[in-house]
Amino acid sequence: MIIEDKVERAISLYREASVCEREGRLGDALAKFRQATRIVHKEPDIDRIIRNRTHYEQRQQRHHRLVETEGEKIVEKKNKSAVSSDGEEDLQAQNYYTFGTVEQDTPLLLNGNSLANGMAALLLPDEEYNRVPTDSRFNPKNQAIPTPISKLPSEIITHLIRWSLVLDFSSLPEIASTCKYFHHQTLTQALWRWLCRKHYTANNILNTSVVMLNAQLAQKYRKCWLTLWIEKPRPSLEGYLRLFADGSMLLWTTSVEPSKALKDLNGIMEIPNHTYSLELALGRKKNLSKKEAREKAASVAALKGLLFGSWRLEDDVLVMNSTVDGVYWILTPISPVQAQNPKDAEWCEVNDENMILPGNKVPEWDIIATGWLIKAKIFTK
Amino acid sequence: MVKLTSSDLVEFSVERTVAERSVLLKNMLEDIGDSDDSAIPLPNVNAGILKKVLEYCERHKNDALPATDTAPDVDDFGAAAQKKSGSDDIDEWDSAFIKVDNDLLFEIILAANYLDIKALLDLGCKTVANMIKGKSAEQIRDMFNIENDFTPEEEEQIRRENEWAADI
Repeated sequence: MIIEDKVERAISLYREASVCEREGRLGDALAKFRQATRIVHKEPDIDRIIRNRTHYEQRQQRHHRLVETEGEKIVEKKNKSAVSSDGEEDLQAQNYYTFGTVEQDTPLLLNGNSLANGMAALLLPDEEYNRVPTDSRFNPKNQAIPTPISKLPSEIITHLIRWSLVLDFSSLPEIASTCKYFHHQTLTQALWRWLCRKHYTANNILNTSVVMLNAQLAQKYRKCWLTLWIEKPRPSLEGYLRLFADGSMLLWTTSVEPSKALKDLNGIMEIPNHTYSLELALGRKKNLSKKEAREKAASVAALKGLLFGSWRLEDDVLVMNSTVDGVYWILTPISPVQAQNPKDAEWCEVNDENMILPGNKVPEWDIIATGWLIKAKIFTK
Repeated sequence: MVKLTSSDLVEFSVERTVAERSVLLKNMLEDIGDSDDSAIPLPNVNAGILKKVLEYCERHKNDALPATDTAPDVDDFGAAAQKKSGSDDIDEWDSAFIKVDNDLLFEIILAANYLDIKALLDLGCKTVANMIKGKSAEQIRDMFNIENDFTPEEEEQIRRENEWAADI
């Protein structure tokens, strides 16, 4: 199939680009990334395809290695045991929209013409990246003396800039105008997201570590991160944030009544007329597991599955796939329904039979956590 | 006791708890076990730097280790949340320890990165960050010997774009 070939080519380019990136050849890396995205510009989920495929290959390799060293039976047993780190990775292999890796984002560059005013200029260009100065990120001012900073790898420079901004945010203009490389660092999504998270987590407010975006959404949401940082609304809720391809946001919060939570976030979130706030119970069927430790692990994993798992928002029904000990969960807005068959877990319809009204608890379910799902549109102005 | 060899072939002997401040060494030691008595080579760190790094590890050998099961990006505030509030302060010993010239400072940062000693890496980065903050761009450039690759117009534009930061 022509499309398949294209994707394959893009994937191999993408991989080559990652290698270049790791070796510090940023110019080559960017050229290859551009080529890859140009080939599949209609396929926005290339990141996800690659991530899933890489993850799948790694698991296969690990599995084979384990089987070789420890024999089939033991491996089977390991797979069955309560959520180990493998289970965690399982959850993370679900369908994310991702923007770069968590550790290091590819710096995104300014299109020269888009330098308008402060906020607008910080928007990412729609398509082409300009070339990054490659091997010489720092040119020495005085050739005679050494430039020790050029020894440091990119992620440490990022770290330095982040810490500088944490200690004194008003040094941003000076840092940005030091040199092109520093400037690029201040334009990355990752920096602003990090700052938001540091701020919010320190105050135990909003855990945004589940937020991942694809490159096309990054443009929109970057502004949101920046706005979030500037406005610093202080919602008094504890929660997790998930963003979706259609621009909706889901906020899972356990601490506070939803209309209050929404009011707090009003500065940066556009609340449409039909906002849903649904009380949701995450349940686990009783007597599923006899061992105390396994139960605890399973419920924690289930909660993580809720947050990190693959979600679909389909006509306002939230469908979540997660595997914990081979159990599949479907969360409708109100009722958790256990699927018999993984295939059935694709999605389900909410109807009168499986809809449970709040306060009307189903006896066979242990309620692990309750919270509110708030659906709202991200600030788009 | 654990034996470490620097890149210039100097051997250091340290307690296991000291060596284990480095996650890299900790993992290596777990893999090796107690049977092997040979030294661990560290080709990326020379003797002078290693000595300094081990000094830090010795001083902090009884500190709590940061959580290792979180993603690197999340780890920062995970660790910060565990400490008391105002966790961006640096204690006296550390601050005297890290008072070194830029060259050595960056080498320490590189070594801490290589050996995966998060606390030392953070200490180094915070020290550099302290040097950067509050300085003008020109001062930063002088400090690190970086050339200004902007035209004056570009520089002015960038300053204007970011001037909102002063009001935060």
